[in-house]
Amino acid sequence: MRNRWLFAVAVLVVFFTTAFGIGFSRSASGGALSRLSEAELALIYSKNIEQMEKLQMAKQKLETELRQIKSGQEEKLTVLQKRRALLSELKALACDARLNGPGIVIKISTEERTFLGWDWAINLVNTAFSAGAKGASVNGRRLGPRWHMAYRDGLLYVEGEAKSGPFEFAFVGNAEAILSALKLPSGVFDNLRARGVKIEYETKRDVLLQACGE
Amino acid sequence: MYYSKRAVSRNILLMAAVILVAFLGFYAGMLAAKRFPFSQAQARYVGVLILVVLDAVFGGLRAEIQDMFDLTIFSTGLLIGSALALWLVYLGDLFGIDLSLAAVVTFGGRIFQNVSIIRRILIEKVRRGR
Repeated sequence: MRNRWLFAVAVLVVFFTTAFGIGFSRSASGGALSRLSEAELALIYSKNIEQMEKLQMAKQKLETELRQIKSGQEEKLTVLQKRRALLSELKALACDARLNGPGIVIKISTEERTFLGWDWAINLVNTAFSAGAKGASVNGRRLGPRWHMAYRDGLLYVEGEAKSGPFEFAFVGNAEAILSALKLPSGVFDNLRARGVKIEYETKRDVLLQACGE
Repeated sequence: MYYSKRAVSRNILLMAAVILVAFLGFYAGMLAAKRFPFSQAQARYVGVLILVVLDAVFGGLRAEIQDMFDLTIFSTGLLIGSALALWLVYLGDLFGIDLSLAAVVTFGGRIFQNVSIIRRILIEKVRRGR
């Protein structure tokens, strides 16, 4: 061989090109997708489409379930709100809470020598309740579910507490209905007036009755 | 068999250079593949080019061993062989025929032929040396 360096260069070139080819073919990160054939790409595409459809279906199903859950929750909330409203109303009626609403205030003034039966106030209140009154108070004292009253010597004993005249009865309810019941011929008002009692009344848009023991 | 110190050091140097060049070639190949994303069809161009280079190198070696090496013939052979092979592959792509096979068969056959001739000449030289 005339030139040993030429031989060395040839060997180096052979190794370089071989290694270059190996490195070139091994490096897949450059264009992994572009290496694939059309058939492989079509297969991947169809698989992706299938997966997308499955995901869409799953999404729709989840959305339906979510809607059902939401509507169920709304229904539960509505029922809960209704029950809470009913509970507060019942509490107000049972004297556990304040009661307010349209109603009527009746002021009864008795003179010293006026003779009245012990139960005139009971008749008045019972008539009002019969006419739809939801709650009542006498001189600011709310009548509870087990109320009792008695009139004696010019004093009205409301659940044991003595109240002096004039007596102010406040009712929450339909004022016209209550008044009509009280004004019935030979009714409560007629009997009281016959004994010289002075009756004044005033319908109000908002009558507030305190809770029992308040 | 006795080898002089100079010959040993020269061979070691050659081996180191071979390893270094091989690593460089591998790295360059990876870099090229990452830099220029290629499809399977495009990778054939690189393969054919490598084949042409190998063919030229082995042909050059054979010519050198036979004391016939000419740099002009070598370099023009390399260039024209590369261009012809690339053109063949391109034509094959155009018509949907795998014409790169023609280049592969031709250059592959020539490589085997050249290596065979080199082997025979070297064996003969060794026999004469004895």
